[in-house]
Amino acid sequence: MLELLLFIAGCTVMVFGALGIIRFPDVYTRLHASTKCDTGGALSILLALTAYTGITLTSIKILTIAILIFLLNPVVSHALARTAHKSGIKPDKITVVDMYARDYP
Amino acid sequence: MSKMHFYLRERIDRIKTKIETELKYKKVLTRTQKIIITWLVLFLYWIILSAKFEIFSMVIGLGLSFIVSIFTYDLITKDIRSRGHIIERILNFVLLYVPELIFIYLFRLIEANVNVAKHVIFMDIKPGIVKIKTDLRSDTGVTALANLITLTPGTLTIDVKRTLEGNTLYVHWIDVKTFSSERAGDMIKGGLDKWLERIFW
Repeated sequence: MLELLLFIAGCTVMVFGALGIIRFPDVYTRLHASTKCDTGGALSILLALTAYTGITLTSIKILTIAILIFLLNPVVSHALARTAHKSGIKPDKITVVDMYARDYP
Repeated sequence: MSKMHFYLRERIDRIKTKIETELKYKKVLTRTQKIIITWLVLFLYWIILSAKFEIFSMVIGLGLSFIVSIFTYDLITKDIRSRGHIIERILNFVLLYVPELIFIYLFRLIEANVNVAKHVIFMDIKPGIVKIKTDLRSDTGVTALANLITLTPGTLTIDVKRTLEGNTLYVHWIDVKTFSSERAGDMIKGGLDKWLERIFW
């Protein structure tokens, strides 16, 4: 029962993330949608798999993959956003404030 | 000293108190404690990857992880603040701190997921880059804070700059509620800052 709930929640989050990658206007807001895919969707699907297999060595290995995603996902999205800002990609017109471009032009 | 300008003296006093507090905070672990912590982490990873509980494999794992931990003891334990005995610290970390972090972070994660799903449907976004200040000073502490902020859906760390007063984080926020630095810091960081200050300096 618990694994079914977690699996359905993960798939729903994945669908909204994929929809957000299409609908959001520029690079930075699209990165929000892709990080949401990884943390919300992939972590809950992996937790559903561990709850399905029970406490064995296989589930501990699946948890290791979850911890690696937890460590690697923010590093990659931070590197993408910083490189995009350094190489001169402007944020979209609806952006309210940009303090980083004001302090370090 | 008495003929010095007033603003200069004030600045020197401020720098002096800052150096004193940094020296007080900077009590790093000794070398054997660092080696023991690295050894434990590496041996746990060996057990997970090999998945055997025979005597032979355990002895090889203990020896190999000890040899590796002699060379690399400074990588992950450089900025841990030392307070109290090491066994007490490890038990505190496993039994108290990690469940508290999971409890704090789980509710923030669920709430942020629902918020970003709502933004995807209705497209009522108001993005912007705000800057927040933090009291953490070490490299590992600031890295952990920036990673935890990026992992929450809705906030994305773009850059970290180091100044004299502390570190400044530039955060891309998908729904800007306030422009003031302190209130934005309270909203974005939550309790994560206080949690990280107990381990790193």
